[in-house]
Amino acid sequence: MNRKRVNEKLEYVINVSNLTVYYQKMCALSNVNLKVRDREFLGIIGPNGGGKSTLLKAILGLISPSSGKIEVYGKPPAKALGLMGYVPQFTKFHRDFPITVEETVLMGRLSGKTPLFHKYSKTDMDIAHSLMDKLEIYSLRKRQIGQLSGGQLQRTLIARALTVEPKILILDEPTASLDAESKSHIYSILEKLNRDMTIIMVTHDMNAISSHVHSLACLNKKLFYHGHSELSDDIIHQIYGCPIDLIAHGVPHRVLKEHGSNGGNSLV
Amino acid sequence: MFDSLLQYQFLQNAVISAILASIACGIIGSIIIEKRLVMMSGGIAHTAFGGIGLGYFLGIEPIIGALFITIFAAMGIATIKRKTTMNTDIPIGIFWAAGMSLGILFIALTPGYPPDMTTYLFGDILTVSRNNLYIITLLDAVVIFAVAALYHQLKAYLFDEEFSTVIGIKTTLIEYLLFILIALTVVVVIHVIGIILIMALLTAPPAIAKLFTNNLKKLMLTSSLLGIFFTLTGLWISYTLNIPSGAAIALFISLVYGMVSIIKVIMERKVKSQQLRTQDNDLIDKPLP
Ligand SMILES: Nc1ncnc2c1ncn2[C@@H]1O[C@H](COP(=O)(O)OP(=O)(O)OP(=O)(O)O)[C@@H](O)[C@H]1O
Ligand SMILES: [Mg+2]
Repeated sequence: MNRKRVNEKLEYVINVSNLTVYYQKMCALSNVNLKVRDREFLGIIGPNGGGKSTLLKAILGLISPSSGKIEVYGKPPAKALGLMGYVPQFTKFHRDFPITVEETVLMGRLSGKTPLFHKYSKTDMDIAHSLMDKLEIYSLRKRQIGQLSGGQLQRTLIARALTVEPKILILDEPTASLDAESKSHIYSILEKLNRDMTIIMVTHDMNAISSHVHSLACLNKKLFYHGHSELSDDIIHQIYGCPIDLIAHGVPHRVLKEHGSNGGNSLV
Repeated sequence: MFDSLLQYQFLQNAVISAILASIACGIIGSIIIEKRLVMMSGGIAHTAFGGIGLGYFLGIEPIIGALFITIFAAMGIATIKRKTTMNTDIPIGIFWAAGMSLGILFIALTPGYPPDMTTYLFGDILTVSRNNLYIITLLDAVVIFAVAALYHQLKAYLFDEEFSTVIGIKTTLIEYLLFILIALTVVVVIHVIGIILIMALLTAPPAIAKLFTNNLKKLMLTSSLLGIFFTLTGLWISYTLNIPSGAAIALFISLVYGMVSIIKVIMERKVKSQQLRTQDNDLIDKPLP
């Protein structure tokens, strides 16, 4: 409860200021400023190579900024470890590693404070089992990780990120390999979780943005927009440099406002 | 051989050191094949030769010299792995050559008649002394203790470094520790099978064990047991046929590994043809239970 009061005082749980990231000589992010409120559901969109994954990794403390500052709960990311859960876009692990779905999901219960000769407790097990249940992978729990389909693996990784019981959940295109039904199922789970955690999600799925995400950030090396999840044609044009129909196509509650009816959104 | 075993101290030392080496190799071997560190471990192993030379040069127990140099090399290789994005095979290849050359250099600089280095290169399990046995036992205990104490953290690090870092596991620390454990294992194994043949005992048992299990703990256990079987059988072959123990063990391991691989290929073919025949029975797309 104490923590809650602290959060309210902080107001912003993530504060990225003047972030610039270079890979060797290539600039991936330039002068990005982004503040995320407690319990915000932030969607990040942008073209391929726009620096979305890079931004997430910088917030997670996995890559260090070339310049600028990142604060998570007022601390540098390296000090805020354990507060964030992460679903990566690409998995770097070897699919033939001797680990089952259940063991993978349980991994999220470990932390920097895990003692020597650790054994998972009953609570750990219960949390892992209920999450596997929720994500409909419980029946697969004894399978070796390499014997899963892409979508099943994706759901395993989401379950693993959730067993951390993080304050901030960071997902990098979590629904990329899921079928339509699984997608909407996962969005509804995320929406429920959002009541007590902040969620940042990179996605190319404009459906999700229109119906689940509160606020939107558009990234293409620079942060072009951060605000309400309704976009004007102008901004979209700037970000993607492509005809808006491509993006608006098939969106049920039209995300994109008609040109000129820009309701107070501003470029950041 | 069994009569002699009760009779001769050197045979008892040989059997005990073979068992200890197999346990360390089963545990660390499982880790290095899963983490794709075989080449790096080879690099660390070969720097041990420089340490042996240093030991002779300084007039201390050669295996202590090897211990220091391998730990030093392990830290160096771990740092290179962490700090650069370049292909680590290259610096490791150089470590490899430099380590061996240093050994030759130190031996050349050591006054007096040059010692016979084949013991260290190809192993001679029958020359394990009491003192060596104490050192081996201690190092083995450190390896077992460290892996048991940090099993879950280590497994998380081996499986997914990025995620482990995010949840707060001290992956840098674990990585350095792992490299030190590899160095200790190398030192444990030198007398049993020799620097050049170490990779056989490190990689073949877990590679075979992996056919039978999908559980890291069982993989370590099965590899250790297989290692014990290989080294003791090799020791027996070496004793009865009077050939060097390191070579006997390494050849026996390679033979079994080759046979298992062939059997595996045949089995897979059989399963495949069976599946083709029963395709109509929905064997391939069996629904989940
Ligand atoms: N490890 C790396 N080394 C060098 N360059 C990199 C690295 N990772 C990313 N980049 C470059 O940085 C830029 C941003 O990459 P990033 O992965 O953040 O894009 P993204 O927005 O996530 O794209 P996508 O939609 O394809 O996932 C790209 O131009 C990419 O080529
Ligand atoms: Mg990406």
